[in-house]
Amino acid sequence: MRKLIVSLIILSSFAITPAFAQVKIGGFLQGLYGARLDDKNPTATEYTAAESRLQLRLEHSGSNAEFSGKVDFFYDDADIQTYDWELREGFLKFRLGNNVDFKAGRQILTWGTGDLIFINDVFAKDYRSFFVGRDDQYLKAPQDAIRMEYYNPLADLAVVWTPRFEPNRLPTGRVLSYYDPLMGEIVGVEATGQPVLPPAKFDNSEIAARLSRQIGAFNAALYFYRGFYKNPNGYDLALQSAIYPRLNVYGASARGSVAGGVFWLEGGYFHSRDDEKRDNPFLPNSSLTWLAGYERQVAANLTANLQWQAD
Amino acid sequence: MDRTYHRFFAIILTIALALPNLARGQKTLTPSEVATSYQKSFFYPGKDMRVVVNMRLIESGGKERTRELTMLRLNAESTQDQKYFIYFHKPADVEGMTFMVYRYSQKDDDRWLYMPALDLVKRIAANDKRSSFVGSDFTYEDVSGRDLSEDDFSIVKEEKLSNNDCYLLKSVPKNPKGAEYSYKLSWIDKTTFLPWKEEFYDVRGELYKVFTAEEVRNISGFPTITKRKMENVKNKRQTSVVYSQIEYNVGLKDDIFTERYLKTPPREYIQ
Repeated sequence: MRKLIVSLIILSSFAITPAFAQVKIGGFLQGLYGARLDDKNPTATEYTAAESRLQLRLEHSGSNAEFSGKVDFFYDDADIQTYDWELREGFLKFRLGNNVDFKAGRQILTWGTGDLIFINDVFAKDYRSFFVGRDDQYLKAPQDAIRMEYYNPLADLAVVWTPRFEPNRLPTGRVLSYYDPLMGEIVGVEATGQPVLPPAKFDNSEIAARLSRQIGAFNAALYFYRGFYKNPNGYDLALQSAIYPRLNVYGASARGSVAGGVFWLEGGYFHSRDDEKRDNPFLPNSSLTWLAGYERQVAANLTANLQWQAD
Repeated sequence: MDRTYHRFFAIILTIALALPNLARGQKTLTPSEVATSYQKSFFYPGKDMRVVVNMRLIESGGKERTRELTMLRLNAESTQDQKYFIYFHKPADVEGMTFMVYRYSQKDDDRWLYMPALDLVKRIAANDKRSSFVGSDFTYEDVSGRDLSEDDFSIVKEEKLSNNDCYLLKSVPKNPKGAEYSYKLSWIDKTTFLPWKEEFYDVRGELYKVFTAEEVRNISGFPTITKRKMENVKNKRQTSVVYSQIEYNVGLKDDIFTERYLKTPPREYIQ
């Protein structure tokens, strides 16, 4: 890698508890600056980031329901030099009976066992944040979804329905360059148009499910996903655009303590539904991928972690 | 065998608590009886407990950081195992994070951390009970104790420490590699069996850590250390801890200590 990036994060957090009970207001002010040390980049800017960000958080918790809202206001000085805002979270969480939890609204979703390696976690990631070095909480992009969790002694079931497909946030070429397989080179500002999202209709919504239970020292889980590849790794000749091909994922994982550490194993079969016959070179092939990981304390306050991924 | 042993000491403890004069004046306790009572009143009071913990972590230069958390503890009914649920209030950047520990006396703990900003449940490797508890000068062992079978105990002497009658108990790990200290001296109050002071000595026999109980209060019949301090004499760091809103036998259910509540903390106990 010939690109060197220097980043700096300035963070200051605050929290206010108003006199009335069970409402919390908080947030933080964050400055993030990063610049490349060389200037031969195809991007629109030599900064990887130059942003000021204010997050405001409001939480209300009752005995059976909780509301959480997070809004980010930010100024991007690296590229577009304008103010913008984003609703990071806005959900209602409530209990139905003894065994069912609902979480409805804009939310961050995570499951699976990998440490920054995702197989059955087919929820939106924010790779832009990851590469420019934003705070950890920005590694995931929020989804507008309804999550239902059903707890019972046999197994816990979680189902997430995302009505409108939410893709991963990938480099666009303006701030971060990327390799474009169609052009066969690293592209920046000259990047071809934005990928086309699947049409907004009921049949194009995303469903993700997980069934999990404790078996001995292990937490075992089965996963299912029906939706689209989160990255635009297909190309539609008629549309002349990158697209998000249809995808089903079937997977399983186990995580538990082994020899004083934590061991995890996860696998998933990615079924490329638009390419059943494997005859379209512009669509991804179905594939099997798995990972194994082990984490152990090697001394007090020092943990070593090893992960292996294979396709 | 083990259970008989526990029951035996439970009986001893009952007698010791019910008839303090008899226990103190007429019967001399053996070192392991003192250790058992100490373990019971220091780490296991009540069936369960709820407490708000305020910590001040003070660096050698005087720089201070704070932690505020609510801690729920549930003792297992027939073993020495415990479950802990911790909710972080402060600092602001960790607010809302939850942490769960299944503490086993005979094997490594199970630990989970939940980060709400990422909706991430993380299993944490926990093969070392000497690790720092939430970045403080207390280790997990200092918070939840060691199994009694891991140490040899002896009573060095009986003496007064700031007007309190104490047993000076020496604990020496049977397996030197299995502990942070090579030996520990505890000044254990003869009435409450709580330690007023503990000195930790390293492999070279040098003092490196001192625990001090600064305030003891009676909370619903359980003598409780409400202010405590752990001082690392080698690196000059120290952690001061204040317990408030202490409640015993609140009726915590086992299902609170699950991933479900880790993600949605029980608001009846955590405000």
